[in-house]
Amino acid sequence: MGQKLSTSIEDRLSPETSPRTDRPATFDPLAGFENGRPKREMKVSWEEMDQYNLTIGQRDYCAHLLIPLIKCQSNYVPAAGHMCVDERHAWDKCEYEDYIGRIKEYEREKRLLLRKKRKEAIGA
Amino acid sequence: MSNLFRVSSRAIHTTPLVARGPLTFEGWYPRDHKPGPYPTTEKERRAAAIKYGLRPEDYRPIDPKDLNRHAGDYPEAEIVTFDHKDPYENWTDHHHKRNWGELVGIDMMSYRGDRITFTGLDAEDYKPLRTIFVILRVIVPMALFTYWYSNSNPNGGLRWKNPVLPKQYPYDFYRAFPWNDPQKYPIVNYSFEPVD
Repeated sequence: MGQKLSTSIEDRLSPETSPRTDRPATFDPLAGFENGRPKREMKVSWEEMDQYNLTIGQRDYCAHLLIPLIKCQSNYVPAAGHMCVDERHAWDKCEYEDYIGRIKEYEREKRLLLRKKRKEAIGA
Repeated sequence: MSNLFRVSSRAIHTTPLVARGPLTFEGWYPRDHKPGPYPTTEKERRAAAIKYGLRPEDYRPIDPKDLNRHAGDYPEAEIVTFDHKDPYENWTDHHHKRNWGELVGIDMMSYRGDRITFTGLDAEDYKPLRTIFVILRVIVPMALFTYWYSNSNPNGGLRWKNPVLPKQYPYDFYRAFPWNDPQKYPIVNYSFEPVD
């Protein structure tokens, strides 16, 4: 909560170096990476996601762990809370890593904005 | 002779038909103490005094002009608080220091045992302006916070910002909504994993 509060206040006080959180990053994603970055791959096909009727929000990069979870749940319901903990943990961990990635994207955007501001201050 | 056959309405008992629970037992219930209209004649005064368990000469009704305390024919009681009463007397109800049938004053709530004041004589002075101030000092900050936080401009006002960028999806669902196939608008996303 303290980090969110400090982020809110700092970004309110200096809007030109605060990344917009309602739109994707504005800088080139590969800028600054000499060896490039690995692409995020979808490990499950659209047809399989259709087969399990995943909602649009569930068709992200963790869907390949959600589908075994759904299969396990439909197998073991109503005791799925106890029997499917491994699948659930795997999917939760993937979603958590995804959220950490979002935080990293924000931080990268913020640092690039600060760098841009510094360069403009020097250049001008 | 005709007096013997005059029946008052109080003699008509529908209790066997409508009573349930504790009302099926004989007893003196709070409804028997319910105030009637303000007494005007001497007869009404006597009847009211007997109803409340007072001597007719002790009965003093409350002036209708006293809007806060007037309640029909409910009588005045002298100011005796809980703490003034003898703790060693064998009361019927020790918890309230009251005997059975004792008159409960109209101001009982000010003088009962769990009030903070010892004498019960400090009146509760609710001045209208003070009441308004006490309410407003809660409502006005609420309104201010609502105004500040309801600004939809992301760069306007105070906004609670999560230090995260939007979630990355393999396809552009917003662009495809509602009729197009999202597979026509793929997005390339990169991760932060180190490249070996």
